[in-house]
Amino acid sequence: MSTAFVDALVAPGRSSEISDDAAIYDFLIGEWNAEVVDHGSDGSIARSRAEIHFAWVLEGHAIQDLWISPPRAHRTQERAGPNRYGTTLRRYDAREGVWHITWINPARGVENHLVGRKVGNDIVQEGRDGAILMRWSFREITRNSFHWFGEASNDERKTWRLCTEFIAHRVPK
Amino acid sequence: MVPLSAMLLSCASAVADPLHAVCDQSRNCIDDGGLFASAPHKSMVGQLGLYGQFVGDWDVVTSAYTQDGGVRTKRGEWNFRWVLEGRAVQDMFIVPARGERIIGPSGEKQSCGTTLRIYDPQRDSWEITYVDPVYALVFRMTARFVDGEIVQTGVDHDGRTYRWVFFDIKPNSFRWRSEVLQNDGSTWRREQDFVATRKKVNAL
Repeated sequence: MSTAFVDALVAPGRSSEISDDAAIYDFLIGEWNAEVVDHGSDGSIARSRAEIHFAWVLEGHAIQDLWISPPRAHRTQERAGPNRYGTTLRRYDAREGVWHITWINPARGVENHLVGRKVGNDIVQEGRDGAILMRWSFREITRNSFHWFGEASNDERKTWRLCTEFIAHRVPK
Repeated sequence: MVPLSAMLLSCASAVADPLHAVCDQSRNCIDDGGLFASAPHKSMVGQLGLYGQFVGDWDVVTSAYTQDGGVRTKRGEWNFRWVLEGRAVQDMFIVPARGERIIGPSGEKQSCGTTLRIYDPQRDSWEITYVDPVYALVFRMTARFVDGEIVQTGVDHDGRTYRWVFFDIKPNSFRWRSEVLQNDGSTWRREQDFVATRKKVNAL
């Protein structure tokens, strides 16, 4: 297969049409390793690992990522947590000043659509899956680490249940 | 960080190796097999063929029909790949083609979009998401195979029902049309018509 697809998809950097203020996901570009904690509704906890990759795509107008858990090197082993081999497309909407996010994980038949924005020092992404409200947040962001929280609410934000955490560290170059 | 000059490089540019710049930052970056797969996932071979048949590189000629009966034609490229362990198909739609794109504001829409397609076994349908920076929104459609055509139906931001249809599908060519449901609720107006031809290097 030719390299036409990759050459066309991946961009070397952010488009000049996206301002510094809007570029809230910039720091994620690159490669990360993470510990994953899945919290079952019965209080059970499953721990696993993940690899995460972020790259600018589509002439630098969007970001595509990969979240793979367990990582590729360990995908033949028995899994402790859910099987994730999914990708996110994030695209900036200058009119609304938000990011539109689509996450698909065909390994589990999952497709979610969320809207992301900066809230204080965090990045908060919300979306709806039927009656369930999803809130996916990047918190405790440093240059080389972040803590990602996946939460769900079935009472319109009154209470949130923590479902998943990714504690991620940048892979040294 | 990426130097400012590199940020201006894009589909439009003739970068010798645009991946290299990204791989410099990310040793194990998005192109190294993490995203792409060489074949459909073995558990889904039968179901995934609907879009798997397009995997490869295509030349496309697009015709847009204006309200006053005019036609605008452009040339572009459309490339499809297996991704995510072969459980999904992603494509890149670039019109005008790389090398024919105008850098900077040209006043003309220049598409550089990507589509992700995943199969929903429960509904026996496909969920389609198209992202193109030309448009402010993400297009979401549900696709079914009907009478030899792949019909992707969605509702746009203004509440209009539209459908994007792959038809006249052959091993090395296919056609595609986009239509919008008119106010009468039964008439479809054709907005665009594409003719795609598989690039010779990948000919079966």
